[in-house]
Amino acid sequence: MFEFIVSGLRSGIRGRSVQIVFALGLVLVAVAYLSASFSPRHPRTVALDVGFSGMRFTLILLSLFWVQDLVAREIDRKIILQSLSFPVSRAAFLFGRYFAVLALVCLSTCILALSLLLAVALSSPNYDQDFRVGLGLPFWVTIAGLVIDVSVVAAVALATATVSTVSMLPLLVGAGFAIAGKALGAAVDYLARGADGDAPFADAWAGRVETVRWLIPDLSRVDWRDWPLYGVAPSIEVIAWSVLMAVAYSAIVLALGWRALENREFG
Amino acid sequence: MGLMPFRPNGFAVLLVPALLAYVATIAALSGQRPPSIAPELSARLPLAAQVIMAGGDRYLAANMAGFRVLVADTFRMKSDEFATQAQLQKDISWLNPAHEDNYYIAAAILSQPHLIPAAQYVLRRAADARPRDWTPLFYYGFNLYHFEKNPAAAAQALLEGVSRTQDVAEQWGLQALAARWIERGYRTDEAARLVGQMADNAPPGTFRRYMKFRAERLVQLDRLKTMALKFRDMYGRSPTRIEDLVDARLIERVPVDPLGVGFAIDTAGEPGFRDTVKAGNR
Repeated sequence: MFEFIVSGLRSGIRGRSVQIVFALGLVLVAVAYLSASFSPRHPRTVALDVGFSGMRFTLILLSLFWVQDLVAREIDRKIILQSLSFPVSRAAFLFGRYFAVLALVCLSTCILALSLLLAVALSSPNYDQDFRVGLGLPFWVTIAGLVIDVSVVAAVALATATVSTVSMLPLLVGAGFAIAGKALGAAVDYLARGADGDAPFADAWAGRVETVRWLIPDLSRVDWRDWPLYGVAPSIEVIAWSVLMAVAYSAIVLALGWRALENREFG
Repeated sequence: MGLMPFRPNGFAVLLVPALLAYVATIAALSGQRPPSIAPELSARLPLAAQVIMAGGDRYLAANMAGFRVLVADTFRMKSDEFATQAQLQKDISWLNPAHEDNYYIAAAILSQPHLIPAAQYVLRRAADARPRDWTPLFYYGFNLYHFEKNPAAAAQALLEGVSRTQDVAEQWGLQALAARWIERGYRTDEAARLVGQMADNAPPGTFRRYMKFRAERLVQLDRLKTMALKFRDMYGRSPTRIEDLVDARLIERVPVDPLGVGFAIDTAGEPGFRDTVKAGNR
């Protein structure tokens, strides 16, 4: 498995598309810096808030490209046969590639997070806002939540790649899953508050969302940005349950992917 | 020498009609202007669309709507655009209730009577989502007092904000204002009790003395009101001056207001503070 992690890391860092997306990430951090100009009261809070959103967007895209590059394309072009000709299990290939993607995500996260810190520190230098943003532990806990979020999306994309016969499918499914998982919390909240008084709408959708809630994890649960932005720390219990939910879901989809890969014929 | 025969090729077949069509469209469109679009906030997307457009990220959706509200030119906005802005600010509050610019703009701009419910929605949610910030509670209380004419609830909002600030001057300011609003919002005996409690809870010093003065004058006013009722029972008419109560031996002398304002009786025969009783009172 270690060989697959190392080769995955090498391949991931060399990829051209990844460099483009990475540049996009740095642009998004610059956007975070500029967005501070749009806030009269809390410019650094807005810069950090937009930066977190930009980081998630970039990391999701990066992870999907890496899954695409390291797994989906290998399967599509039958290069995987060469990898599997070594005396290693298919599980080692799958989990090796997954951990390679995670390692690449962690590396990118560190670079983007440091860039974001710099952007926030430099934004609005002549204004000392009343409520300071938490750039210490709260910031890094939120960043860890982002990585967990991305790791779930990567697991889903990877599992999709094991059954997909079209190389673009993991990217599309992963992107759709990332949006749906993130929006689920807002949807549940919206319906719980009566859908702005639209009772028929709330009744019609409550059942469906209740079903979807069991099929797709609520990724907004691992978004703890209220802590660095507004000083509202999540409880340890909430963090623990949210992390467990994300890890368990990743394990489920990876297990399904493993099963699919074991049974797949590469003719 | 004969003329060369015209042999149309594919290039000319594509280019000539395209050029003619292009020139014709330019001529046709030159006299037309696009319909004027309302300059600012004329439309609002449903919440679900805002969230989806932000990739499912409700914080990003709140920021995008927040930028839109922030750059709106309120001087040029019409009444219906203010209504859209109010709804947009409620959306931002729903997406991210702690958004500081949003509650600040809501407090500043949504001040017309029909927009106050939206402002109060934004401010109450901001107060709940920002446990260290007393300002949304101040604006919330201000609207309750001035627009909803509910001084008792307004005073409670201010008192809720007291524990959120470490600045003693801010704490005193909020409590002093709350005491004034309590005087207007509660029965006098109840107001005296509440302000007395606030004085007891204040740290020893100038501010506690000030609050005790406010409680004391409320106690005096309550006693004057009770005596005015007795006067009515005795003489079948209302007193017209505070001195009437002294003459009737219901009080020993005209009480001294510790804040120096003094007491008076209004046109309905009801005792009150001299600065608050209606014009023409004695």
